[in-house]
Amino acid sequence: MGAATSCGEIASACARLCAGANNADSGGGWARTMIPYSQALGPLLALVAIVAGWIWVSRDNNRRESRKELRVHLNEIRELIGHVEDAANSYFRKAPTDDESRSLSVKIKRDLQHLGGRLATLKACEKTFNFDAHLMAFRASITDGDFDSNARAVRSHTDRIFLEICNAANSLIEATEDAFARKYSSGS
Amino acid sequence: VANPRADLAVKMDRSRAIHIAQDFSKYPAGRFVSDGPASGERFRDEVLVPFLNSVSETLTVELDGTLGYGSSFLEEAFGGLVRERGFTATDLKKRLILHSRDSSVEAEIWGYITRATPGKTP
Repeated sequence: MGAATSCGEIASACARLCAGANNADSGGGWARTMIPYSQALGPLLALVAIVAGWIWVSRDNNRRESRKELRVHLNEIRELIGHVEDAANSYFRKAPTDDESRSLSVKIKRDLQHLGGRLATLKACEKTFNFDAHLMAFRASITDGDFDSNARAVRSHTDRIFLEICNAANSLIEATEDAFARKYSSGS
Repeated sequence: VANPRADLAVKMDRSRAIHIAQDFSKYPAGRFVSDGPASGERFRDEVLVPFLNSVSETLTVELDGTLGYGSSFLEEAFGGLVRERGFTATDLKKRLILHSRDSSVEAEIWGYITRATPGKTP
């Protein structure tokens, strides 16, 4: 109400000023006509300003909340990628006949499926968040070749497969982080 | 304007469908028969090829519902159709409909089918 009153006063003052200026040459006719309009327009403009401000603040809050939710989602995805990578590193260091190796195989496939589901949810929300190619490369780096094979050999710590898994995991994480940065650095 | 969902529904209605979790195994694993009873080779030879040979139109493969797939299973089952069983990628693109919530699995399978060379190991 205070804002509306002060805006009304300002509008009236402007009108009086115009009236004073016009009095000199046209006898104040134009100003006398405008005064009632300006008195009505002042509170209306104040109301518009308040509503516009509320919309702007509300949109900014929503954007901030969306950003936080997406950040949490991406952190969970990153954690899941880490779990799959750790499980894969353990899996390839165990013999295929080892019981733990079999349970790790199930865990890897299940977690990869969860990861696919979470990334699919992201893509459904935001079309530019498409990480299919990176996910395929990550899945293939672990489960292609002799994965789940009874003839699989136990890998040494320096085997190339661990580097490939690590690179594919990093590439997937970087892709998600890049997409997040692009979305929130462009001001959209 | 064509509605892709309606098109898919019509295609699925007219074709036969394989639901891997129901018709084969909830735990697909391994490449070769020697790797276990739910291998990609067994799925290809005992389920996929007979279905493809028995239907003249399209065949829908429903991939959801299992505990997940390894690339070795997918490559042997689907890439193996071209490498080992004489199907062509062009023919399979016309006749095979893959369905999964995770589109990366579908894309991976199509990649194996497209890249496979008859008689050449992956």
